Amino acid sequence: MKSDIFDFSRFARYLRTDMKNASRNWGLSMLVASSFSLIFDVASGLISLVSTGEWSGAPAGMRMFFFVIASLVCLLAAPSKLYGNLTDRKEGTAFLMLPVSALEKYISMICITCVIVPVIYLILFLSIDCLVSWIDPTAGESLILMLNQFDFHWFESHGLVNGTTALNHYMTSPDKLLNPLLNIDDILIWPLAMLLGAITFKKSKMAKTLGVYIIFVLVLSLILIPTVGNSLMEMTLSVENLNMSFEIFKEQFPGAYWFINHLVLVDTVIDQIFVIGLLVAIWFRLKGMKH
Amino acid sequence: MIRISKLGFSYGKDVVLKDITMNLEEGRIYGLLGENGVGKTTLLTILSGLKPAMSGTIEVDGTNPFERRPSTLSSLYYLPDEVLPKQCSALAFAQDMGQYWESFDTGKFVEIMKTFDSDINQRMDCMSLGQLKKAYISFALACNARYLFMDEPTNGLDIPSKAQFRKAVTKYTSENTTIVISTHQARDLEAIIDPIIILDRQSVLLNATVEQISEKLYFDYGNTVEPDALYSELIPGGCIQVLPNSSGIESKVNIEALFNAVLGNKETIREMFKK
Repeated sequence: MKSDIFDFSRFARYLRTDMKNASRNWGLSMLVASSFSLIFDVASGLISLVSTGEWSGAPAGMRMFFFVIASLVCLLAAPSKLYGNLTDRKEGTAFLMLPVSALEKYISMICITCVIVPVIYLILFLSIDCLVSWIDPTAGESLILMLNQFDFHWFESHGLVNGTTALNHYMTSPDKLLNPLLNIDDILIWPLAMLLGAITFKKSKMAKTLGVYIIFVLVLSLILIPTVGNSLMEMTLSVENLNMSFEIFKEQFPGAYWFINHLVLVDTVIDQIFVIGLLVAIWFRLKGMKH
Repeated sequence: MIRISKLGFSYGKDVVLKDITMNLEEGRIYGLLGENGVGKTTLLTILSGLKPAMSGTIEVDGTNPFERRPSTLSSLYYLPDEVLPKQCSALAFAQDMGQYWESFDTGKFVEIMKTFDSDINQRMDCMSLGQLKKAYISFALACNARYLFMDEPTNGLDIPSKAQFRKAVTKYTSENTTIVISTHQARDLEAIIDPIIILDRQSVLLNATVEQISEKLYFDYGNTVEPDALYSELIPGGCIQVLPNSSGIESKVNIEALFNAVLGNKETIREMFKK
């Protein structure tokens, strides 16, 4: 007898069905978003051809800009397109009546929103971009090469990290091992928040979710600023005093030192709390859904 | 077996169901009747696990349907009034969704679709409302679920399809299937529903088999108007009247007349059918 909580074969079947639905609901939009490099390369080429008589494709910097914009739009819009219909009576009824456990539906939903769709989008975008840079020599190098060269030292060399002793210490601290987790957490928060909004609000899902987010951040800031205000002030002073030696900084501003030294950890923990909170909220929303 | 005990449900302050108690036995086709807004659809959605009971209990084979366990969900199918036009053919939909109901039979689905003269390869989003409804009815019956809840299944069906629907329901359901059909079109289903449940605002006015009804009530199709009739209506060629059955003679139950008689004589009917 199959488990009522989780059955692997049933889950695999459901994931396949869910992915089919995802491709119906979001496939075309994702394909268009993934083709932004191609679209802008052709557009840029045509404009330059008309204005100067020579073909000049979209440079890598411009394509990177559109990559960021397209990724942001996808990250925010995909959950609504994928699961926003669950608040509709007809769609929601069919979803709830399907003999698949809530846990299986939940895992499938999270996998598709946070892993499968973003990964497919990324592969598609970068592949199409590679194709563009390969076909059109005027387009410069591909984004995948640019991303490969990207690291934090770029910021340092451009003076954005300031090269201060303290921040150098942060860059080389053992907490940096958590960095990949930190980045994933940062990215995960958005699709999860949008997913929660998509299955909660009946109309204007994205606008309402962003509205709630802004209110939440404002309230959180009002609570946190007075409590961590002193540490932040110390940090500001330390950044201003660029030539201060690490030892003096450590002695004079122990709070700021601790904060900087554990910045990755603090950020990761906060993000983890948000991610877990969102995952729990989505679970309860799904479990308590009614039509 | 479905056990409903003191079931209550409300939308905000608007109480829809209150202290509903009844058992739904296997192998019966229940006709759920009632005026607009008395909670027929709400009752069906609670039975299907789409809504939780706010008070009282409801058990489908001993489990609360709102827990939405796969084993419970695969033993029931709820056909809502409004159905979804999927972006695929009827057959693809049936094969894709049917895999989740353990007893689903694709062959049966194809056979029932043929009964309805429907094309299994037609895309659902290109179907008319009636065609779509027939595809969903075929799917519902092919699921071979123990409990089948249908909300206004004949809405949108043309006259031949209504007859095909009655034929399909009697032919393609097993002896232990419990069916609950909510409808306003009582005449469409008169031949197949038994027992009949009539919901009033917040309570059950009548829950009786056709045999029990014809024992207690007499349906007179004559020309003479009886003064003690619970309900009378002029029809072409005479009138139809509902009278207390004092003589014990059996008569053909007319569901529409019964419904009107019950609504017009709530307390009398309650007393009459009190066990």
